[in-house]
Amino acid sequence: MRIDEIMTRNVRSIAPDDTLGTAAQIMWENDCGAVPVVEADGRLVGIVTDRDICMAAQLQGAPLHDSRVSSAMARDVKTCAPGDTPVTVQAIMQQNKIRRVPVVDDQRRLVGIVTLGDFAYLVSRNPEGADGMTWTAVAHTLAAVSQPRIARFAGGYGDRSSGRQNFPPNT
Amino acid sequence: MNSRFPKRNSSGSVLAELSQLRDELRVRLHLAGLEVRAQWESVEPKLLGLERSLEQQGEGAFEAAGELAVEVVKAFRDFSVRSQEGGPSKAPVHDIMRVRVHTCAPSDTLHRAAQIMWEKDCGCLPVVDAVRVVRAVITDRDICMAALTQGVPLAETSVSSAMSRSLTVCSPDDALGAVEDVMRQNQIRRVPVVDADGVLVGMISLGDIARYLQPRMQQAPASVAQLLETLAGISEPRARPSMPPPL
Repeated sequence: MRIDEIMTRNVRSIAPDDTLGTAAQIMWENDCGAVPVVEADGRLVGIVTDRDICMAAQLQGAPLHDSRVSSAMARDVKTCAPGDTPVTVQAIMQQNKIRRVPVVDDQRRLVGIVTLGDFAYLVSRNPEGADGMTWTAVAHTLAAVSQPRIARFAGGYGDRSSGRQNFPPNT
Repeated sequence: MNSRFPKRNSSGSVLAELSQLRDELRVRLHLAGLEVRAQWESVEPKLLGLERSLEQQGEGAFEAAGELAVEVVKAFRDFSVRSQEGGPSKAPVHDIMRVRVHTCAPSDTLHRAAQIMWEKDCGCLPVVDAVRVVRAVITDRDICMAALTQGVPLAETSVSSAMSRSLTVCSPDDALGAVEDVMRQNQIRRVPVVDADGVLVGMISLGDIARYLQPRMQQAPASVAQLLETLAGISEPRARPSMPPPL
């Protein structure tokens, strides 16, 4: 099985120079929590989540329409290819503690997105296992992505061991 | 049920309760199987280290004491869970929930709520009144959408303007499986745990359940299947939002 058989296509994306207000509007309209950020040529350059917007609003203290997407997006985005197997992508999620992985072609143009929820749905409908994907593997990944990302008691705007390493951005 | 947990008011009382727990555990070890003994061997050094640091550093080590105490108490509870009939889905919420929960008040600004979420690396805060009765929850997404609809800096608007209008809670005595049903039906990942008076005693998330099941997956495939059903259900696109879109 290939990831492009289960990924979501026609993903709404946004440009780095758009405002966070536009990003939040897209999240509202599509009931999603993350929007991939692409340049005019379709190349993926980042991803912005509802949490990123919340934190940018807090740190920047400005209305969302006064802040650019590029000021809040994560730039170090883990991606996969359309021909990757679900097992491979599931491992990417587990290692990086992320629940969404954009799918890009060999020019790094966005073609889709796949989430941990997609995998849960996949294995729930295929009790015998879905092409090497097992229930326990997905459950382990869920446990991994749910781990706190900062050391306990680190306090303050400290380092994050994984995930959003570049937040707060541009500082 | 608060009495099941080490009291948090001073390191001295934590220490006393821990010592008592440890002695009780040692007695029960004689009756326990190999698996439980191995688990105890991983916890005991931490407990000893905790006692030592509490004695040496006093209140300074209190934060760490709370976390470790919870770990020890959980290990202790595993004894009873394993000796009972029924799989992990029958385990009560108080075995899995987190008891160190950060909260905010309805009158706090969204700026303050977001700051707590950032500092504590969490995405959801129970909103409690002066006596810790849970009134609502607020998530990072709620704050994001409030910032969009209200169009003002977060410091100029309050938690009460953005918090959930409906509240779903569970009891510490509820079974794990029942809480997962609640999560699936309401498409929520986190549920506040309240006592009979509505007072906050903990928080349980789908991730907490996943981590709880992790060492038990081989023995409890049905519970894993249910976990994934829950995750899939939560991740389903919702019906169109009933509120009109902003702007």
